Amino acid sequence: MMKDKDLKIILTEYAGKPGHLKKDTFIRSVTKDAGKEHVSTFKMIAVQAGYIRVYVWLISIAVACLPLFGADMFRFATLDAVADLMPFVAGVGIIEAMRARMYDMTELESVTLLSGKGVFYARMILIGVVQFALIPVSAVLMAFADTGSVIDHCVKLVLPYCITAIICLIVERTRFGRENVLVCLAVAGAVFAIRQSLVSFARYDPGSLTLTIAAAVLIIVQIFEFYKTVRTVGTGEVEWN
Amino acid sequence: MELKASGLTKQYGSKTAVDNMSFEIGKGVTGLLGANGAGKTTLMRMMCGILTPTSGEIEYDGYRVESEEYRNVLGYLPQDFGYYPEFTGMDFLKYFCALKGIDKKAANTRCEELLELVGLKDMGKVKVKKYSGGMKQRLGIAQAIINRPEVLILDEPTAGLDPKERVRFRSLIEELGKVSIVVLSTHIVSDIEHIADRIIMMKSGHIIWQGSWKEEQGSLEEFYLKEFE
Amino acid sequence: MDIELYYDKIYRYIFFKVNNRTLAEDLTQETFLRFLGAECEQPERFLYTIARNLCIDEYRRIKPLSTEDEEALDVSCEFENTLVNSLTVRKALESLNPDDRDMLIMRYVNSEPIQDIARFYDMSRFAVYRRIKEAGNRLKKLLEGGN
Repeated sequence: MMKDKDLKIILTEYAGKPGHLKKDTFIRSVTKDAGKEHVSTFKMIAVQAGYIRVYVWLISIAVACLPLFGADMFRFATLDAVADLMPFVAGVGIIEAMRARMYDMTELESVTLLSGKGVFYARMILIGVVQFALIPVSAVLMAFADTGSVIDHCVKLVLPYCITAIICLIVERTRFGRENVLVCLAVAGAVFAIRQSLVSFARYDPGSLTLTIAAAVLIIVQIFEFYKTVRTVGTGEVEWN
Repeated sequence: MELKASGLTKQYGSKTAVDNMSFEIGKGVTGLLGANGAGKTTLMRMMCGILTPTSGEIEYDGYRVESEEYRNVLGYLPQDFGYYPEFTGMDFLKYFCALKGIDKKAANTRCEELLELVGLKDMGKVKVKKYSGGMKQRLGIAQAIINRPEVLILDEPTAGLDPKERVRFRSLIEELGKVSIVVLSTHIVSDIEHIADRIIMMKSGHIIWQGSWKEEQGSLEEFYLKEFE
Repeated sequence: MDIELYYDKIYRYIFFKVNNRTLAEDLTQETFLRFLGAECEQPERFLYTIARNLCIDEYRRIKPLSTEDEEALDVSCEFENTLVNSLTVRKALESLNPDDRDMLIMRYVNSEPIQDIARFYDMSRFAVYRRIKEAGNRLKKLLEGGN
């Protein structure tokens, strides 16, 4: 006897499909009357959340939670270890946010409701907010093992993070940066090296007040640079045919 | 349904890619014919609102091409496009559903429908990486029509298609032209000869001929070749 | 958007009732137009209700088409995977009780859960299950016999 599946196939094929043009026109007219709602920032972020690769979150969380794994055991100062890794966290974050460019998806994303700018904006906000939120978490974890204050720790982590992010954002606006997304990692490496020589070897310490002010200024600059970069995404100004 | 450009100009430094072009495009298939470097891609990017003209403007039924309303009814297939390496064909289409505001439940149905329409029904679960050039191009077309666009802009859509795919593709375009504005660029006359309701011929940023080609006018191919010698 | 999800389902449901593609398409669109004007909690059930009522109206308006007319209206149907031809399918479907046929279509072609079909026809799940099973078996027998 015939199987249920076969019967299903016969009946479905017998019915055929409604003509797609007639369907297109109808759905189009009906949905147009209903009006598409404006895509809110929240919706944009929610859509992008599913498309950010897990490794970005893993790296960010792993670095922030380093104090838990007792970096002390390796005769490191935990704060230095985390601060050293911060540029790479920032670099990876920006690379992920800029992923469309790396894989030639910007043009396609540009003609969607979200638009290329919207996509980048949503990805960067999402990654940035999570990474920023992890900084105090890390600082609190350190405070358990260490004697320093939480705010002090935060500031020392924010500095390398912001400096890297700002430079990456600026570089991404240049033609060279657009064509070489991985340049962010080079920037991270450079910030890492400078921090090493300034803090670890030269023991440079301008005092916590200066550092706190610097961190606050950098956060503002980063936000500013972020918006400036968003505006250049998807305009295709550099391409010629 | 009308896409209207007036005095459209785009300059890159001292180079003028598109020079003072004006046209009106209505429902049906419009072929944009020109050699490489004639400014077709630049023009199409401006039509999509992703490239800002140096001067002049372009509008669709009163909407500016930069507006969300226009993007909502627009479909575009760029000359080159990529994909995230972890994407399967289905993921790729679903991603664009999400970006084009089609909700998740409906997206599934719509994506399957489209894969079938472009003949990739059994390839949905395969990574795009493993697709042939023609298959990738067909996926690109599917992506462009996912939101049932009123304006469909296709930049060199037949590139990479084998002869059989070309035929199939042409009939799809012809069909879509019945209910939408379809603009497609090509440097191959035979791609549009029989399906374009209108032709715009471009040479170094200018329109050198536009209108609907009638058989009494002789061979389009010959005319085109003469112009570009 | 419900329309994207249910369009094909409603089309098929109607098609098996009216046996004419163009008419089925028109009635499908009419169903959605009526549906969009109303608020409801169970869109699926409501859609089927509208569709069924539209088909009933259609029957009243024009007398059911005779078999020959239907054939003239709709003969282009190819089966890639089976040897059964469309005429056999139609004859077999026509021999079923209309309600049985509709339930069968909802279950087999549209993959609706038995529970929903039972609610739609205001019958017990068991009764619906049994009727679909019987109708299915009968159809299979007819289709195989027609080979």
